[in-house]
Amino acid sequence: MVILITSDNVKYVVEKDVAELSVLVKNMLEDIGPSDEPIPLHNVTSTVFNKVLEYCIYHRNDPPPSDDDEGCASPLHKYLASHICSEWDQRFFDVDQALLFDIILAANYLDIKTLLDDACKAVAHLIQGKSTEEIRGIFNIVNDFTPEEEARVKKENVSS
Amino acid sequence: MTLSSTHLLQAVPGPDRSSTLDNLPNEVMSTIFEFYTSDLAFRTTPLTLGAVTQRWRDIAWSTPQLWTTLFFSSGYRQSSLDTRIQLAEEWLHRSGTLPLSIWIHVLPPSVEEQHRQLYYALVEALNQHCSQWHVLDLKMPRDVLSRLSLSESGCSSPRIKELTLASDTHGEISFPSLSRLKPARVVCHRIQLTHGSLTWSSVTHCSIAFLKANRILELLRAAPCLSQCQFESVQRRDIRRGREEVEHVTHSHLESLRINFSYHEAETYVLNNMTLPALKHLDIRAVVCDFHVEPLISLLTRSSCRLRSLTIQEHDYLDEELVSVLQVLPSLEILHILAGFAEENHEEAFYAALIGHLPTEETPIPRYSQPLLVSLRHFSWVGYGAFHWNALLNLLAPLDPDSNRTRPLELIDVQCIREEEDPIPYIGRDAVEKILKLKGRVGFKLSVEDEEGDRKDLLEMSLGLLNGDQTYNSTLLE
Repeated sequence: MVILITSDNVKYVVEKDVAELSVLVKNMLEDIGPSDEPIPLHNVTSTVFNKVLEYCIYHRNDPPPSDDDEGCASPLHKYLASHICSEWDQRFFDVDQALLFDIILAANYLDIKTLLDDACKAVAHLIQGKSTEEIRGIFNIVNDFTPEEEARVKKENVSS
Repeated sequence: MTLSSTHLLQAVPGPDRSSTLDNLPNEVMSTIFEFYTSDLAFRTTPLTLGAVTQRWRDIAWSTPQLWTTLFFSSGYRQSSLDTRIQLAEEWLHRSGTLPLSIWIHVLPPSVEEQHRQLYYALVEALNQHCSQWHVLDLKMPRDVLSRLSLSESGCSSPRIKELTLASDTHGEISFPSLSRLKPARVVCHRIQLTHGSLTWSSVTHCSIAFLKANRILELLRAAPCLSQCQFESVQRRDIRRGREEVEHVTHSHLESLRINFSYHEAETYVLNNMTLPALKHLDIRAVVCDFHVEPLISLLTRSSCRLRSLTIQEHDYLDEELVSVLQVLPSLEILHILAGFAEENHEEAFYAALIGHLPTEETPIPRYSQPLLVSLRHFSWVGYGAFHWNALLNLLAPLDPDSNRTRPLELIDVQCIREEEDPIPYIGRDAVEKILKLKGRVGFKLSVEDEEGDRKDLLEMSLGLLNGDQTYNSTLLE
């Protein structure tokens, strides 16, 4: 068992194989050796860590992700890889935007590649098939192009 | 272990904080963008991302993974061509050094002179990225395509996997500067690459139309790893080359060959001058020329191959000729017959031969000493008009008179294509009854398809008719 402490000082006792899905935690465990010392997770709150833990427990027995063939993956391969196939994952990521971004930040900090990729797919899925204006609307983004830049951008997109 | 079973030692709610997309680091945004552009279903383009905000644009423009697949089609829209070609050039530039998959289809009815120069510039941009070519699919006017080359600088080890070239006119095209390219797959439409235009030693798959017969043999010699190839409309050999003596080719890897000939002379020349011991799948046809079986039988006998599947055009074979071919193929498991507009009873000899090894009252001594197609698992027939339903059942006859052993048939697939004025090719009562008895043992896919592609289950229709269902017009049964 491994003891982890989130930034809001919540302690978790987690099985080692689950905790080690995080490369950050795995490296820390290797660094400190056998110890009961709690591992602090400075950049993750308990609210977010609950979700992270839920994901790690569900995916604990998944095979490790494989790197594509030196960036040579076919468009179809990339397309298939870009999809969240499991219903469980789809339900898992059906959360509000703020929590989704927090999960991404936590996965990035904890270095959990599969969670990071799946969460990024979920965000990509939000904007697929959408126009530039629609994308801005979804994320409440302000257009910061100058009129000249805006004209160029429009020309690019009309011609493409 | 489930989440509820984790031991929560101390629960203190954290401070409320809401993240936005702005909090995500650039490398994470790059990952999101990669997944966004990977979804082919939405025809996504990174240009859309670059139009959202300055930050998005900077990230998209500096993520080479977003720019590794380029589709460019001139279509009929020639306006804004200069802008589109400039965008394509910038697109390629943003890909950095990553492998590129490029589809450029420039085949408008005519290319105006002012546009020709732009296309030359596009090919030049392609050439600058030759070391990144991974998949290259180009359909271009001949003069534009002929500008394709490996640039001298920075292209020491091209890593192309698939090369597809098509042009607006037939004929050979020479690419001496591409000779170092070692693709695994080569497809050529309308054009034929001259000898030395590529390094063929790594090619495993190829598809080329209108090749001259002697070029096929040269290609087989140059491509020892070839396992699948397709040669459409093979032309007669180029006698201008003055190569009277033909070097026979034995290709020990070729497993699948699809070939059709436009000249009888080409068929004799090619089939008589190659040996294919690894051949498993053969699709062989003649187009606008006669087909003679002797060279084919010679090839199959000489090769001693264990052919598993054969696709033929029924009208290429006269009387007993198809039987002669099948007699040298005891390993054949799959037979596809494309009947086209065959004459009535044209296949009579074939169906009679299926039971020609069995004695009958008229012929107590069987015509053939060995049964035909003893390994057949899958029989398919596609053609216009009616099918010889009773003769079909000959496929299910015993392999010898004293046992119940039959061909290991798993599927009989007959597809009758019906023109509007033709009667529906219903299955007769006797054949329906026999088919129903055998249905558990063999799969039957018997269908009729009209010219719009609407396919119906012919067995069901025939059964309905025989059972008096008024839906079916009984006058068409005759």
